[in-house]
Amino acid sequence: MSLEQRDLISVQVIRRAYFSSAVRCYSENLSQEANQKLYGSLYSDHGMGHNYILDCYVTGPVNQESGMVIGISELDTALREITSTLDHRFLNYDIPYFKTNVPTAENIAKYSFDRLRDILSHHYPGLSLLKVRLYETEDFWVDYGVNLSNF
Amino acid sequence: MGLGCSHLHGHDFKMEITLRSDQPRSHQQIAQLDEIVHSLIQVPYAGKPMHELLPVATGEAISLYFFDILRKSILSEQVISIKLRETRKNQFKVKSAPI
Repeated sequence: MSLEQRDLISVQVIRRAYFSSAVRCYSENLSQEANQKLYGSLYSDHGMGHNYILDCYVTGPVNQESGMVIGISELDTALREITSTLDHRFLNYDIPYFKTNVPTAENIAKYSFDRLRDILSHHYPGLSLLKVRLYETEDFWVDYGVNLSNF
Repeated sequence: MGLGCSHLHGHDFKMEITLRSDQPRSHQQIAQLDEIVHSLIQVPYAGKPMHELLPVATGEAISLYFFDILRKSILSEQVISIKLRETRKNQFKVKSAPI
């Protein structure tokens, strides 16, 4: 019996991708002052740019022959489907989802998680996407996923 | 398996270990943990060809191998998880089932 079977051990693979985007965070339901207070520098008329880092956490059985949960290049392909649409874009104007959802780190993480989960479940049914971690800066990040309390 | 893994190569691994304890940690406990990891992981395996020890030396397999070593040590079930960073873009986490 393998270690995984004996002790209910799980293996997670964590892969990182990068993209740079501009965002402007504001609510049409709030006054200029209220927006400024709520979103600070993200409310700028010209938007604000970030170098985002997107970590995805996947889990699944380790294939006995390959020794892998999923090939890194395959995971990169899935991630690239997400990041290529966001990279060097002004999210408010270029991505339909963010025309009606404020492009906060939370919503970008949710957007990334939902789409990545669709891609992975379609191509790799035995794989589970646990969460994504989106770094907006090196000091601020958001986790979005399933049963985060288990982490 | 990616083309990169078909050629012998090395990594500068970083490992994070998460432990469970009922007591607040002390400097002595941290020093003891360092010594355990040093003697069981770093000394035997640093600079060694992992492909000669494991059928397939993937990040997953190496993580499971080290997790098993630590769980069989004096640390036993205090070891909740380890996270092995292979490159700046690759990490592997092995954890026991949550209580």
